[in-house]
Amino acid sequence: MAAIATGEIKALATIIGDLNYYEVLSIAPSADANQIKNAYYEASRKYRPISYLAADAATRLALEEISKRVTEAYTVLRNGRRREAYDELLKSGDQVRMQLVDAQAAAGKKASEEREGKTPNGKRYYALCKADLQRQDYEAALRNLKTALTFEPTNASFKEQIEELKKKVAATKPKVHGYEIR
Amino acid sequence: MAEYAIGIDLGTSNSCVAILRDGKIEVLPNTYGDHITASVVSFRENGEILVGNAAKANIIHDPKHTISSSKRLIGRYFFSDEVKKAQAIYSYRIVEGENHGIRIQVRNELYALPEISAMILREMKAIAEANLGQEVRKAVITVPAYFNDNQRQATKDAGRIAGLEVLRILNEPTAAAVAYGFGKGLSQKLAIYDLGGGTFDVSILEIGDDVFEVLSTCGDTFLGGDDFDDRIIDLLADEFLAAEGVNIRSDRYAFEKLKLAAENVKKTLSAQQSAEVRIPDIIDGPDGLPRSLQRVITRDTFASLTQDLVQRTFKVCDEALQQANLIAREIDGVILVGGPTRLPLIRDAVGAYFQKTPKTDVDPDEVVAMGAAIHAASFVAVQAPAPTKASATAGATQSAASASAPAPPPSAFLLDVTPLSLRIGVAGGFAETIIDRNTPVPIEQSRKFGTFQDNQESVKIRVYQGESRTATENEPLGEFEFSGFKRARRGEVEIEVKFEIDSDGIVNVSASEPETGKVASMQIRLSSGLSDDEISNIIAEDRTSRVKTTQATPRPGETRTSAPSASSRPAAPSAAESYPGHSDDLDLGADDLAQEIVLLDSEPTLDLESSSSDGLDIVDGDLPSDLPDLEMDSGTESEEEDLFAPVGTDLSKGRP
Repeated sequence: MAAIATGEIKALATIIGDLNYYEVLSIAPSADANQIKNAYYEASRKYRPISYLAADAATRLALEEISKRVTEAYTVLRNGRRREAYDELLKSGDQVRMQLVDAQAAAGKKASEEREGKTPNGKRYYALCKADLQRQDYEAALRNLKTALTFEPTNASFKEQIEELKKKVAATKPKVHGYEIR
Repeated sequence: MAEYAIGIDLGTSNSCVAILRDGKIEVLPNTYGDHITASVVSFRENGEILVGNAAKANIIHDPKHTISSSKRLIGRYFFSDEVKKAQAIYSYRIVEGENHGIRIQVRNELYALPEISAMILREMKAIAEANLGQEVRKAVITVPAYFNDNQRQATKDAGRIAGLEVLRILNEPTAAAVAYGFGKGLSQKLAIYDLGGGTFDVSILEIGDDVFEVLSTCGDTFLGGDDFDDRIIDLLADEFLAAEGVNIRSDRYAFEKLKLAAENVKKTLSAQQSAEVRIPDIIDGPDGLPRSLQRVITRDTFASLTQDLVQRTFKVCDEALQQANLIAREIDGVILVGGPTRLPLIRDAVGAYFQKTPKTDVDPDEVVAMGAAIHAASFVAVQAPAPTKASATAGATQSAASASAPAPPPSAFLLDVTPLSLRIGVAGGFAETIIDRNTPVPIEQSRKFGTFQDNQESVKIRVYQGESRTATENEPLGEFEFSGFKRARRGEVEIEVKFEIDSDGIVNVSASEPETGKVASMQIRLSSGLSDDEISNIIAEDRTSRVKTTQATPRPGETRTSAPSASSRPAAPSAAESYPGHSDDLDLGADDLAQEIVLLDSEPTLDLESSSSDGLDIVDGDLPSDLPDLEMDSGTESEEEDLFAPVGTDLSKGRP
């Protein structure tokens, strides 16, 4: 736990409103999920008001301000789709903050766009996957969805559904121990 | 002399106090040597007040003046379901206080719930002082994770009345995780299954070394160990009525006996396959002759009686896992909290659900207080070395500062979430989300709203907590008025409302109008609770000092006059805690269309096809589907609807 000079804290608090979420967490825009989490932990260790109980009121107010931005940055960036929406917002203009409700709405919109596929082949294999699901053939559904993903490698919805399906396949597979013969 | 800060688990049935000293966690025993003390307060005829085990012994003899399970009522409105339920179960008198608050009537006196809780806290403080031989002023107090802001504020008030500086209101599951993972350098995902006397919570946490991150928390404040007791009570009472033609429930005295017997059955079944109830001459039969109650209850009977309750806890677990984006198998460890989790029936079911044997190396009754003690210690620990801070301010590097100091004690950073969505009331009787549940705190969010009518002079900002889009189905936290902006056509006045949850979990709300720069703000104070003046009066009246403590200790404070310290000054309520813009009570009068607001699209740059609120519904999937017409057509007026009554007309969603 690094004790930071109160002057530095106050200075950071005055400019933190102008920093984008990557800057708030001191990470590269290419950071992966783990790096985001670690940066959040690191920033929390550094700026939590509990580390500065003896500090004056102004410093604690500044810490609270920093902590709120840190949480906000983490809450947007930790979710893949919210992060995508935020990246678009960053590119499009001069805004560096995104309200969570808006981030969530944008993420939801993206999700519904992606859900059924964006390319003809992606759509085709997704339809096959859906048909498999109706027959409750999860393994076939998983295969088709994986194929769909090869046409749209960045489709987060496909990735998510694949994870779900994997869990389903694992859950429905009868547990057979190596030494057991059924 | 070192200054101590204690951790108190203020439970529905039992409370526990612990301390971290010399790097060791100790649960402090009361004079009977018990680690837990019954959360019961009994008012004797002669004005004396008993707390704890002595008070619990009084339940049978004097049920009307003995208050148990007060935690179920703290921070609630008088019209809540919990009050009706409590009135049916408990023999003490629950009456309505000011602002729809609750008071307990004991003979000719009225007590607010925080005052009752303060008596229990005072006893826990006395236990700590007896063990430590010195005065204790600071404490971390735990609450169920699912407690709303009202309940948290009321608990904080209780601490103040008890003469404690409440360092933090900490969530029970978080405390349990800290007690489990503290100093172990773990990297795990944990599920905390907390079945207390009156509430059920489950929290999913990720521990990464010294960071304890709560991923999600869900709960049911209407489900607890008491409900398991009730099932036994119902079985015995119904069977007795059928066999003997007498209703035990109709006799307070007999009913209290039955309640104690049921609790004992539950406890016995934790260790044995069956338990026998035998209450001789419990009540007189129709012929005037005494009847006895005798019945053997097996584990199987108990399991079938309570199966649905156990299943209800797993529905909550499903929700928590889903919110954390995990499945049961991904959980590395399960920690059980709360006395009822000793039941083999629950242990087995939890083990099957998470596919993991729950950890049993921590005592479910003590683990929460232990975690609170660890957290409490970090407040006094960091406060001590003031010179370090000074040198840091002077620009010295941390390595230089720490080189001279002894190795710092292990620390725990708690990253918690808000358990319930924060909402704002809008025209049409709806409540729009501003901060979603399970959002990490501290956090600040804002949204833009517009006036509802032409030439509107003021708006009413109504703050709710809960998961329903229908305003009245949520817990009202408070409201304030905002006025002084220019008059204009409907929707043309733009009002930005900022919600803030600070590190203490306290909600602040402010409204501003960019054009005039006018700002109004309030710290949300429990609207049915005690005002600062009332708390000051309660402290001045000092009824809690009539508590006849059994803890063998001289009045603390007198013994340590030789050790003056800054902390020994009396913990007078701070005058700074009055809030500008605070409207004292909920306006329960007719809803005023002239003060309604509507949501404005706040981020047009995103070019959303659907409104952001609609989008949220779809994404979340946990909100009721959007049926504004249906909901608004219901013209029935219930008591609850009177509070922030819906507009009751066929207004469309109100978007200008």
